[in-house]
Amino acid sequence: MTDLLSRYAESLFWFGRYVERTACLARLLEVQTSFDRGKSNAGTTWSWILTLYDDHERFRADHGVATPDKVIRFYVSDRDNLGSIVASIRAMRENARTLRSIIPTELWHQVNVFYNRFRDPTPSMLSDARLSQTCQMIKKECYALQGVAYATIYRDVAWNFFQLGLLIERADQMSRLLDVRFAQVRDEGHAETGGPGDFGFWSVLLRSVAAQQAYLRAHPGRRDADSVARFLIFDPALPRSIVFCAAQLEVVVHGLRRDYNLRGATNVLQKLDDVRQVLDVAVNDENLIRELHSFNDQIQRDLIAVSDELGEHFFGHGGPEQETDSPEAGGAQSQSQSNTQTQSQSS
Amino acid sequence: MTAKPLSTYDQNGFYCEMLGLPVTAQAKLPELWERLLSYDAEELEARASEATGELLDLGITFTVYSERDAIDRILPFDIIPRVLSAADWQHIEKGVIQRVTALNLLLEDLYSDQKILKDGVIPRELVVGNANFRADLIGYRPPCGTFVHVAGVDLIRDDKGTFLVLEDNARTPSGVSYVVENRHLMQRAFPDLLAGFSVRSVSEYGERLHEKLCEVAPRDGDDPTVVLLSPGVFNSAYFEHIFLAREMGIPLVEGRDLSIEDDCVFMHTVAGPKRVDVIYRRIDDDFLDPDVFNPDSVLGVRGLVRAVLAGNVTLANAIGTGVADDKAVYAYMPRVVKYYLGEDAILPNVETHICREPDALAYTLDNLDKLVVKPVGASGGYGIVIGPKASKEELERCAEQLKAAPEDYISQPMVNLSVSPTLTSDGVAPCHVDLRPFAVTGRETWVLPGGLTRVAMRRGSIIVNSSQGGGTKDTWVLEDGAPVAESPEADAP
Repeated sequence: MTDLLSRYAESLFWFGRYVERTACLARLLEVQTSFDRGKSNAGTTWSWILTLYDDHERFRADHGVATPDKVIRFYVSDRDNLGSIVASIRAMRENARTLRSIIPTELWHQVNVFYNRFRDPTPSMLSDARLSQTCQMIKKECYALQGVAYATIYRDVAWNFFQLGLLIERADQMSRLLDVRFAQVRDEGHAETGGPGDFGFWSVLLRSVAAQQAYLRAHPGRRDADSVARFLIFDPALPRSIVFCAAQLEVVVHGLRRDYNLRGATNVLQKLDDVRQVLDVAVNDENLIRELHSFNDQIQRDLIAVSDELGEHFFGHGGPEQETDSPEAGGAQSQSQSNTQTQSQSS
Repeated sequence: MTAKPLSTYDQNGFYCEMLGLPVTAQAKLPELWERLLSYDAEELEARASEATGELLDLGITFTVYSERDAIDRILPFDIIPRVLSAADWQHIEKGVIQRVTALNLLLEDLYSDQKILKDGVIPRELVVGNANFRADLIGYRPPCGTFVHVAGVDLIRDDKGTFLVLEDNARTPSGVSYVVENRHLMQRAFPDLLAGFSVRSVSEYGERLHEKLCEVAPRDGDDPTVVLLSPGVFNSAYFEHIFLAREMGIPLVEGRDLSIEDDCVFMHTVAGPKRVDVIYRRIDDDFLDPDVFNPDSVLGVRGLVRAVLAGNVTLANAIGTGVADDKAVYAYMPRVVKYYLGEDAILPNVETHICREPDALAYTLDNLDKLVVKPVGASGGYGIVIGPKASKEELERCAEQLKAAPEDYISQPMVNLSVSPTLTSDGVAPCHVDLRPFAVTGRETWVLPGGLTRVAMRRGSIIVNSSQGGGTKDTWVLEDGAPVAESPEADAP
């Protein structure tokens, strides 16, 4: 069916994004909590998450100096932080509510039970003793939700838009994480680039993207910055690698053109070609690890361009591209803007 | 511990939907009554709380939004069903079809020749002076002559068990989703209660509605595009809009999803604009089209009324039906039925005094403490004065308002609404109920077996409106030939 409303297509896209975003954040906090335990300088390891989501300024304005407790609350239970887990779950549910007439009841039920369970986390759910468990439960709810989605959603064009949101968010999260973590390696000397490094650091990074076991299978015994980065970016069999997401995005967008005859898909494919090109150049770049920041910047910019094309051709967002900031200055700012749903709602 | 709440149930002198007249008080469906008697309080409570949990999990809720929060409320559901015999239902069905037929004939006439006004059956000023009468639509005839595609006719039952029409809802009546969901809930939470009874299905509503809406499409063709137009997620009936769109398999659209080109309606899809033929709208007339009605409305579509008048799209229900379900016009419905159909009304009205008529006003003022006074044109349970329950001050205030603007009021005798056993916070009590059957009309009218039973869950209250704390029950229409009343087993000890 191609009489899918543009508004629904956009909600499906954001529904996918928020499901993935919630899962990523929950997994990250779960791993970070476990890792943080028993460290003498525990407090210092949390503020990098603010870097990850470009939240330092916003956080400082409302909460002052970052402490583990404050950062945890900011990302788990703070409703005023649109990037928190509770806000993401709520946004996910509001999108699902919009979509209720087209998504399976089982899926809505899953979303709704999830939302009701974590709408108001109690302080004890955020305590040192329970936080890891709480995040794990949230992550599992997200997996369950994706499972229900895979098992029940009717595979018409609606499915494509759900996947697009999910994949773009996944690639974006991976890129951000690589950017911040490898900057830490450089700045804080967690590990010598290319050297054996801090075993724990790489382990945490891999676990926080659910890639630890896969990495060890692919690279028995080895754990250095270059191979970890390349694994997370280029491994075609890792479901969270950027290459994997990019390939899937191509498949899904091709489907829009081939199966549903949607001409706008051609424009989106052109932007995906840009992503592909960046990846093709990077894979052969011996200095990739030192230029990781500009690589990630480019990837994130290209993903934004993909989203913008989707908005223009399928979600009914205005006409041709409006004047944007120069790419240099745009950077993080435009990135965080396009990563937030701006869908207007009637009252 | 083992107290059986139903065993001490007392119908309190009212007609009971389960036991009939108080003098005979015999279970209409003895096997059901026996089953209900066997449950202890804990069991009933457990089933009830399961059902409530299910409503929340499924999001069968209306949502109250505040700045920071979205609070989901459920419409309270009572697990003890209300039962209608096959004979009761045949009577109701015939009566509702007759009533809806008359409403459509009335509207067709009012928006064309106005014969009924010329013949003096209804006072002209009652119609032309009515805020819901849209004079600019005179001359518009919708496909099949159907104005009211979806009607909810509110029925009550008096102390003799006679069904009476309390009011007609011919604009955008809501509640049908609860009819269907209540049954599904019952099947999950209380399957052992339902087992073995032949209860008529309510699941086909969406299919029937879709079929009727296709019948009134403006263009010939096999596959008209039907959409449901909702005000959006913030509307308290949003769940029902979802439900109906889902059951019919049609897009749930908002005003911003539609636009008009060359007096045709298009919806914005991922493949571009797509022509729309029929709009089942759940938005009031006033918000449909800022060009014609409320200019500030952002819920509707600019130019929609022109598209309707050009015959390029059909609205269900049509614009301007509010004049027919007005409480003042209601009083004339028995005469309207007679006028167009040459028949007596199968379902009589509650006796109604039209206060704009001097005799009726005098009678009302003299008997204020015995009557229910209702404002005309308002909806919901607000503003109603129930004479026998009102204080002296309230009655005085009411009399003043009546004298100041008699045309704004009607009065009716206090009807002793029937009761049905209902699980309340203090055990099983006889709570007052009404019934809203739903009728859908394209070329012809079909009535969903049963309807929404609303129950006043506050002890003694007779206002069943959900905005006043009312709840709902599953409504069982028994198949013909199913065991009904006076079965010998009923006397078994």
